[in-house]
Amino acid sequence: MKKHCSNYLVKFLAVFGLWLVFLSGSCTRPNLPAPSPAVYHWKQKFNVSEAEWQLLDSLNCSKIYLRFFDLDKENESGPVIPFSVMEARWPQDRKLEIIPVVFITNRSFQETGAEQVEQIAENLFDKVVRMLEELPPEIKIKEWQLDCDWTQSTREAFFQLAAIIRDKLKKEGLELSTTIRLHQIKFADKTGVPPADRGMLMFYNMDNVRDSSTQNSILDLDVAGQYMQGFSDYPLPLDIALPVFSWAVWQRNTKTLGLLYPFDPSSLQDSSRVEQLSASRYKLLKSTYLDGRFLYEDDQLRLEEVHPDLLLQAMDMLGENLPPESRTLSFYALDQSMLKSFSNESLRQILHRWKKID
Amino acid sequence: MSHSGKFYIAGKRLIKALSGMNLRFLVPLLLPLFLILPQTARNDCGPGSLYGFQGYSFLNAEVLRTTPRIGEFFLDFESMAVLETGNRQDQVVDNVTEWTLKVCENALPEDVATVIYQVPVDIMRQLRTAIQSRTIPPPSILSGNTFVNFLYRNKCEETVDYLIFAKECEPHVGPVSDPWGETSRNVPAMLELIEAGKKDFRKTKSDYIKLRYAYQLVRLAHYAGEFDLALELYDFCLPKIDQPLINDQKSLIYYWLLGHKAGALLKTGKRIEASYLYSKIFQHCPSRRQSAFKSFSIKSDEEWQELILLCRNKTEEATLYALRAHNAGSKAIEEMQRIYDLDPSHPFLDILLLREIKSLERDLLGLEFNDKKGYNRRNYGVPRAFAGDYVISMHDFVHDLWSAGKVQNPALWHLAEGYLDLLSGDFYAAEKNFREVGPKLNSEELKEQLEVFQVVLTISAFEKPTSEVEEEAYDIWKREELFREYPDFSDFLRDKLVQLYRDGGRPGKAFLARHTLDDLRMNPQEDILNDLQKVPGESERTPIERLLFRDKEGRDIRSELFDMEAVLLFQEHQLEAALRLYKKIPRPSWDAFGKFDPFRGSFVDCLSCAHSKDTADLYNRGELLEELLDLEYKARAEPVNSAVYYYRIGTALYNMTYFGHSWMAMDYFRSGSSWSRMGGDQEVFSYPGAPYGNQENMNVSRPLYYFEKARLAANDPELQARAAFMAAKCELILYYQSKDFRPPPAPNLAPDVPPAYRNHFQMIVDYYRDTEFYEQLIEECLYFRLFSGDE
Repeated sequence: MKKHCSNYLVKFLAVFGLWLVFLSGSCTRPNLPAPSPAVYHWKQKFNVSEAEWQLLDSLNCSKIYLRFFDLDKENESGPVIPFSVMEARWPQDRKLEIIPVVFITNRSFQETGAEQVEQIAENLFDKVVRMLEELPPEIKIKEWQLDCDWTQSTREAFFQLAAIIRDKLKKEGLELSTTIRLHQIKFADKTGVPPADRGMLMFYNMDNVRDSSTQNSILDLDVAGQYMQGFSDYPLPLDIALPVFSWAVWQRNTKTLGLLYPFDPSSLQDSSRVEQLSASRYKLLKSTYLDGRFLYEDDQLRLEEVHPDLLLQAMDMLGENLPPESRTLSFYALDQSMLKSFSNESLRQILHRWKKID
Repeated sequence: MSHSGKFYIAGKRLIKALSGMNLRFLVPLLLPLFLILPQTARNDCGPGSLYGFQGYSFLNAEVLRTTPRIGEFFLDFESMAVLETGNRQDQVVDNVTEWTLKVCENALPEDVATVIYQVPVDIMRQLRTAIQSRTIPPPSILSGNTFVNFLYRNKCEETVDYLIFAKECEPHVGPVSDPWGETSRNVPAMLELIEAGKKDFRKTKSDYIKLRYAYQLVRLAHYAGEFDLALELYDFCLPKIDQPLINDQKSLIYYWLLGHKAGALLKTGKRIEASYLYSKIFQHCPSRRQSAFKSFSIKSDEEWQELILLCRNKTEEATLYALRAHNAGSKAIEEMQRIYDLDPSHPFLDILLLREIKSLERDLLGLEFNDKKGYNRRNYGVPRAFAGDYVISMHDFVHDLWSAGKVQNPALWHLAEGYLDLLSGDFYAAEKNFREVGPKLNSEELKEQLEVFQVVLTISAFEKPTSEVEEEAYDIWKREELFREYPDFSDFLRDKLVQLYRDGGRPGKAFLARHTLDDLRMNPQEDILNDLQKVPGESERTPIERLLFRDKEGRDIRSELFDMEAVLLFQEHQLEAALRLYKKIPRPSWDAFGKFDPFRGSFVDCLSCAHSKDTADLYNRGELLEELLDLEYKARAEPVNSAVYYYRIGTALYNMTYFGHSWMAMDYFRSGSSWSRMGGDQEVFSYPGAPYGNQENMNVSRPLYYFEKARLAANDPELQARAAFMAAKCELILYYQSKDFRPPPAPNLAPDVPPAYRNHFQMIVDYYRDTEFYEQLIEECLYFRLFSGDE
């Protein structure tokens, strides 16, 4: 009897202890609904591989933010025209929601008058509509997105364009979202709030990539922490974009020469060509091609990666600041390097980071 | 095809733009003007007014006349947009030139261009009908066209057939006219054209026309997305063509055709083979060089080795390294060494050499005296951190290569070594190299370049601003041809002189070398004025001094300097010293510096109100100084009337401050914006175009002092009241300038002035209520009315 009672007690304590652990864990996790999954597709050819479809299926992800084209000035003084127009091979018999995304350079709005902006908006709208003409019936469109890192001097023009597009979409029962950067939330009173129905918070590219003291310009939570204000007051409901890419910052004599993107970190494993100087810094031992780019002896690379753990921490940080409402979490961007760097399971964990433990 | 092409670099375009103006007659005026007038393009009023890199360049791409139009591609590599335009223009020029040379040398190129690019296809069909008929004349719209006349007279049916075909192809292969429109092509129509074109190809006799057909067919297939077909067509057509030569070179159409083959190879995954073809285009076809560079794509060491195996000789292999040398971030010396090891006489070595020199020129030339170096550093990262070491590495490399005697143009390299010596600051070595290379130079372009470098060296080597240096500088200025062809000489020489003057303790000359007297008037500087006064009389001046010492109208500025010095002393109330200086100006000239009526009192300060027209009220500066001194004397000598005199002095001093109607008596420039920026003791405010800011005469403590003296000395309460009122105005200004100032909540409200700044108003209320002046004051001054509560 005594032995039976002590066994029972141990089991009770174990279960109780586990329950305490779960309870404490759930108390530190944000109490937000899990976001709907999505991915960005940013290549010129929309041609998703089988492996990529499998990944999306495993995440129950049927929403794709698809770059349709870029807008930029033809030259310094030329008209604003589309570039890198997406070539679509629409998948047949696959239920998807596609959000057409148009990336607009800030330069497009510099010294661009109101009449010109109006014309650009008309052209943009007509072009996207034409590109959607061949869309299979299984693919739905509910929203468009404009991606522009506007500044003080271009704000008015961009907002004018967004307002025109939004009005047109409204007539079709569609919504407009725009990409939002962290500083545009913290300083919303200065930067303004674009006339859109939703904002996509681009939670990456936070630090100065050219600064030699920068550790990780893609995602640095210390830097992000300085901007985590104003979310509760922000007038647009926010979706989130998280990075799943890596790149290497190419440097010579402390000067940044460029960015190698996309970049396969495994190319740094060849010790006959590359010497690791620190956790993220590498030196070329000889002049050679590395991941498609010719680099020279003694050049240095600063590898900037995003690991699943970092994204989990990012989710925690966001969860503490975002209001509880439904939103989308999109990974930037769907490609082979995303598949290499992130397992299906790790992406699922990120997506479900806010899930309550019942 | 002629290989003596034109060269376009950014600098050359500028030179050409300038040479469009007839500068010859303007030069004598321009010479002093560039010294005396502010250089607005390089005005130091902030980065917002500057555009582009602010440095000097004396490298002339014409030195590479033997190598067709490589110069601009390499030397202005940053300006890809400019190059794209240039490339399109080059393609047109090359195409027209080849048509002219190959088909009809007697035709005017512009007529050939009209036929090729402008005549519509239906008109060409009418021309064919005319040729076939033998009696019908050519279409009247083409009358007078020398190319059409040739085609008609010689019955060039084959050529006209081809031109018709080419025009039928053009809508399918040209750039999209509406960038917002459909980008897809009409593939079935293009395939039909290909079939028709193949038939025409087969029946064509001329190898040159056959080559053009081949180009059209492969291009059609490429743009239709039928890449395998494009390759098949290439293999079908080329063996049937006996390659035509133009001036012993392959036709540019061959390379254009090769470009489309390469494009098709690229699309079918044969990147290495495609890259090999692109390298051949890069080497031989200037008008397609840029697109070849952009399309060249090798991604691994293994691919590179495979590519090398495709090369048929060391020159082709060396071209691969030349291509790689043009990637951003390439190490030029490393690539140039590889090119040299393979083919020491490779023409691209010369081009890369000049490119690197141009970069080092941007980094280093005139760095110690370029007043815009901060701007260049912030906006362009120039100079590069490694420039100092790199110029030495490049220098040694250049020396090794030319002295080995194997490079194609050793004289060019020897000259380059001299310039690198100059850039690294070794003027002795530069001079030696320039002296040695002179006899070796054959081309006029290189001789001119040497001459230019020697002038740059002369200027760079100036050490002190001696009269000999000034004479030499003046001799350089007189070389108007040089300044027209190399406009950077203007800034280069001026900036060097400014540095010499500054380092040599001649701040005045340094100032006038870059600015004008008007700039100095904004805030006269004692050291500058003192230095300028050291310039000797006209007969003893150097030519540069003669230029500096003239105003816009060409008059000697000596008196203006005295005027400015006197104003400085006037501002400090050193009246006697100011008058002594003023007496150095001939008295009849005193009026030229302005006439003022500061003794006119007023309730309300009105800057825009008309001045007195009564000459008795008007004083020039010299007379003002005399009058003020006289009043001081009288005030001491006649105590019974001293109040009147002190009041008069105070009135003048007040009216000559920033706040009074005669401010211009003691200041040259007044800005309304200074009002909102004043505070404390600040009297100098930043202002565009004012290198020392704009100094305003805002100190009212001296007039306040005199008004107080007047009030205390006066027996007449009316005068006391007046003096108190003027003192009150000074007090109010002091309040505005103080840290206690609080702006009113709305602009139409009077400020709430603390009692400490209302002493004199209170005094008027307490002691002068019974005066006539008090009644006037109530009438005229709203502030006082509010203060007193009286209506």
